[in-house]
Amino acid sequence: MIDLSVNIAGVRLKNPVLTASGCFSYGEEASEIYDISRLGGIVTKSLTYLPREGHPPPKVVETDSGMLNAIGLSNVGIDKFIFEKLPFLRQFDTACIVSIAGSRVEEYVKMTERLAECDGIAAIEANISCPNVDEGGLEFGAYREPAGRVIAEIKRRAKQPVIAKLSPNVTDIVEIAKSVVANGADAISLINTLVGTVIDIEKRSFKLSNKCGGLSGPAIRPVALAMVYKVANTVKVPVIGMGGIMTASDAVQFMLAGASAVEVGTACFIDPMAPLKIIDGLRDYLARHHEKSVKDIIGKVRRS
Amino acid sequence: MFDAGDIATAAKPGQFIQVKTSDDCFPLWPRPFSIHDADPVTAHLTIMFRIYGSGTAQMAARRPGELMHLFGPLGNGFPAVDGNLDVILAAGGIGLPPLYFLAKDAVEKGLSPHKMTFIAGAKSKLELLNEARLFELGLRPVICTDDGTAGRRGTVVDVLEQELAPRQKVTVYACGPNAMLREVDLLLARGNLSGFLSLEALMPCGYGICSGCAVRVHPPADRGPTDDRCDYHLKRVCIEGPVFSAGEVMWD
Repeated sequence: MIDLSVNIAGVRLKNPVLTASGCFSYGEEASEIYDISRLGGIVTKSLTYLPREGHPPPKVVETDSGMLNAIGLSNVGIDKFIFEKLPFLRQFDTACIVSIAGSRVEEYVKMTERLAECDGIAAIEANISCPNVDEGGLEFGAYREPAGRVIAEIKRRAKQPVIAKLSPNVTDIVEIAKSVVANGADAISLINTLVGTVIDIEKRSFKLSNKCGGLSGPAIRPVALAMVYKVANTVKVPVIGMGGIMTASDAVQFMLAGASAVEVGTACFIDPMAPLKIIDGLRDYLARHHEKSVKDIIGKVRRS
Repeated sequence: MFDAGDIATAAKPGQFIQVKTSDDCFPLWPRPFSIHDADPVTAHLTIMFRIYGSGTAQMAARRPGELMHLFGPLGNGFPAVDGNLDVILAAGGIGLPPLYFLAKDAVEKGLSPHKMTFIAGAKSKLELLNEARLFELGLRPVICTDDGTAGRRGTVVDVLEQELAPRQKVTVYACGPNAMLREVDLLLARGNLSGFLSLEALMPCGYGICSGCAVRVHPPADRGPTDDRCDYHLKRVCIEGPVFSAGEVMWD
């Protein structure tokens, strides 16, 4: 029997495969297709205090081995989430991680206080790295001090472990990681999308209504993997890796680089069953390498 | 034509499937195709497509007997045709396949083909899609081409306007390029007529999780304050569509 369970900041996950924020909505759609209790956990769409419609179309564009999105944090808002979406998610035996995003520190604080009163939330993922809103979001994640400050404020009110989700759009992601950990982050997840754009040369216009968007998918995987490796080597808290994970072998790479768990994002669009295939493939990999526990491969890439 | 198992059994007119030809990363997304025909007995499912980009080019290169990833049926589909109402089906170019399926379904459920007016249009004769199948259903389709190389000269919208003129009460089912649907929607609004429009959109996921295909619709009256203070509401074409009621969409 191979043990797939991992531990992230005191939260036991039955397996290390989570669905990434914004790539699973609030679980309803996928639950019609398969039993989402099989997942290690799910990360909700990022919530803001008030609901957001998001950017007008076009909101997505396909790129070479990847895609750009400028969804603009469409979400139902914290109230509707707590009253309608969370009760639904509680029915499932999987870790529910709630992603929150704001344009001011007070918004993160107000949401954290609301979530502190709720049962059935395994952890909070603080999205301080969304590239798709004009004000805030990424501004917190882009610099050491504001990143640390917002995490400290969330941490003071949070009843659940706090995961800081980092942006790759920075000079040195390790510095941001150190800052959020020094300010109490219980875990780190990385990477959010890379800022990118595509131009239609006939119309001489941007292909996204928001001009720029966030690049995800296989195209960003090597970048993400290197960042996960560097951060996991520096901080003492668990790291959740993501960025273009499509298959179990991609997930294994992230775990060998030091990730204690992985989030699957864009792959859920291409194939709804991708997270389950990754879980099965992970088990096969461990069997093939005579490993008893997935924990035994975390950070086990050879250094020399 | 696919050997599509349960997808063919469950398919309803106006629904679509996502097709991914290979596990390759390029093109990354599956491609959505409206269902042209589905036979629950043989489990055969038919789509029609035009080679447009890399996804369709890859599909065209596949040979009989090869496997592809299919996902579906997806989307809300058309409401069933009400035999008591006067009905016009307006198909522009690649909008024909789902409307054929709708008409076939209605005929199979006992509706006389003569109760439906089917307008099938394209830019020119060569781009007309398989209109012969419409005659097989017993329909007497009104064919039109922009350049007059087949049927009446004019667009689907021109012909629809002519067909609407003598009628008081009619329901229109339309599918075609979004530019055509916009015109149809305006036409229906002017005549205060009801109708259903099946929209085309790029879709990364096809089942509602990514919101990438969302279109602007008029916000519900009871919508409270929003963070981004938009004058629009968004609906996902893949799961809240692809069929929208006339007057619902905010066109660009």
